Amino acid sequence: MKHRGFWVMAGILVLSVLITSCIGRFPLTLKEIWEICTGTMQEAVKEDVFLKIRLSRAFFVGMTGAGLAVSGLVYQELLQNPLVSPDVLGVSGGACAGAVGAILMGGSALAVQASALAFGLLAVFLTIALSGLIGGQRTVNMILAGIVVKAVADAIIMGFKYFADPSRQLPSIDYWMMGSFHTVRWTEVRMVLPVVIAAFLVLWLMRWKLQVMSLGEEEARSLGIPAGRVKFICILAATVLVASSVSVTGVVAWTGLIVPHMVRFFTGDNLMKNFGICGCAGAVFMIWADTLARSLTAAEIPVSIITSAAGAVFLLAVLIRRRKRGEADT
Amino acid sequence: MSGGTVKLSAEKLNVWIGRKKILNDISFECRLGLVGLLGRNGSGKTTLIKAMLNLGCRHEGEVSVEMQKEGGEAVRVRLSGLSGRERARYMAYVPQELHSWAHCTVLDFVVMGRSPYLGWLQNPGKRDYNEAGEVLEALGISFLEQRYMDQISGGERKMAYLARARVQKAAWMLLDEPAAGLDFGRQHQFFEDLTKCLRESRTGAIVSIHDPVLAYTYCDQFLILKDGRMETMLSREDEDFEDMYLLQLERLYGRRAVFADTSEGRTMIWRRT
Repeated sequence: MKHRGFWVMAGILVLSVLITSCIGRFPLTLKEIWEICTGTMQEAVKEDVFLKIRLSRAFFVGMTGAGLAVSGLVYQELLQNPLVSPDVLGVSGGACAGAVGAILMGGSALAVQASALAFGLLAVFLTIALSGLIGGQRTVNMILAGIVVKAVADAIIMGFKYFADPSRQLPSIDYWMMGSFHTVRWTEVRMVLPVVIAAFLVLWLMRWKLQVMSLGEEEARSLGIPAGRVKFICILAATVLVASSVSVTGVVAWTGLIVPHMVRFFTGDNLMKNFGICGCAGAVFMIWADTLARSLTAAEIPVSIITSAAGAVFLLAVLIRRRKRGEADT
Repeated sequence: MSGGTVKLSAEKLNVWIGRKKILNDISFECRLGLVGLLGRNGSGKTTLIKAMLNLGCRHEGEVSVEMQKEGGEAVRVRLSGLSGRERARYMAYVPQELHSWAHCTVLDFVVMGRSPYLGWLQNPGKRDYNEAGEVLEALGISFLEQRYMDQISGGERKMAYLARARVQKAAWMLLDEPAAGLDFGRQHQFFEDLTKCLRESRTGAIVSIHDPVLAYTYCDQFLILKDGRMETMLSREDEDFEDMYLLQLERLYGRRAVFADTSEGRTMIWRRT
């Protein structure tokens, strides 16, 4: 089959959604889910738990994971730098600052989203501009520029926190910033979904031009690709993906960096092929991380604790294997 | 290109990189065939190629391609008035090295030559892939199809570039030091393949090249660049071509060369100073 990797991953995704939907303080069985789906379920509570809570959450979590993973892949390909991700480039930080600001001003959900997007974009373009200004080795200076931008974003967030009401607003901001999906219901999904689908679609259609861009901007331009515009549009779309997930759930660390690497690790370096696989893999990764986060302890813990821990282990494994294969210097 | 091209010309090309002027008043006109671009390091060969392709450096002046229409009349296409996409249908670029980030199969790479014919959100389809496959077969490198660009030899990679330029259907190909990094046998193999490819597709190419003997063996015309200026343009058909060629080489490199007839044909050797 032509897209075998993608369909395998999609299958794993569906299975993951079904299995993780059974897990929780109110356990369900696969048989009960089958009954709910076929409409023969008698107990309304179970139906509500599955349809209104678990499924909406899985949907949103999957969307976020896919968005972060794909945006990570796009950033890495466009900037030709295997070490960048939404976190490293300061996009997450910028979007977070924007969202916190909007929350403190009492903005609507839409305003939070828009503000997250605006500041996320500002952050990523600032990082790219700064990395040009620093000069020196390209791979490293982009990361340094990202650190600078992230520091500024952190300063702004701290400023916001200082002025926040310590009893009501502060704890919720802190909790939100660590990344959590516990607030998610279908309303949040409906709010974010159209934007996310649009961004995915744009990137999906541009994926071939992205691959041409991997030859370097000059060569891409000699082939008639308007490199500057392609770059701008793709960064815009990738940032929309990050900002729309950040605006609802806060920063979820590491996913954007490691999922693309995990996919490359298993399927090789083909961008066209990896695009869909990466989306599915991001969703699977996030769904399991979220399931652990909400079921490991009696209370729900922030999902970033899980993704960071898993990320550190995976990254180490990938780096060690690269070294063993002698690619460490490339 | 249905009608076929005749000439590629540059008029008063001035090029800057940053504030520094790299090329002064370059004007020339090339007929169809292989054109060697000679000059010392830093004389502006790469800059000239990039300026003609409109890749980033600030320039003024005009580059144009003269095309032969079906009826026989010649039409001059000025490239400065074209978009990047249209320009790519007239000129193809073969850079010195494959970008280190590039990682795709030879077939995917060759299909990229179709991009000036695809729409904004269009990806290459079955027809584009078939076309790429046919070109690979015509060049005799179908066996490379599924290999990765960064895992094949330098000579094979250059052949993939040739295939891509052919898929691009550009009238002229600009190659930046294609011989660099190839061993002796592969250099000659590549130039033989290149001249054959140019003859078959009735297109022209400019190659920047450091080896005057290699240039003498394969090129029909010679552009001599010195310190950012066009020194002269030579053609094999010129009456005193060989003397002029030796003279120009001496001016460029400060060494004299002579022609020597061998049983395998004419060649060039450097005189000991």
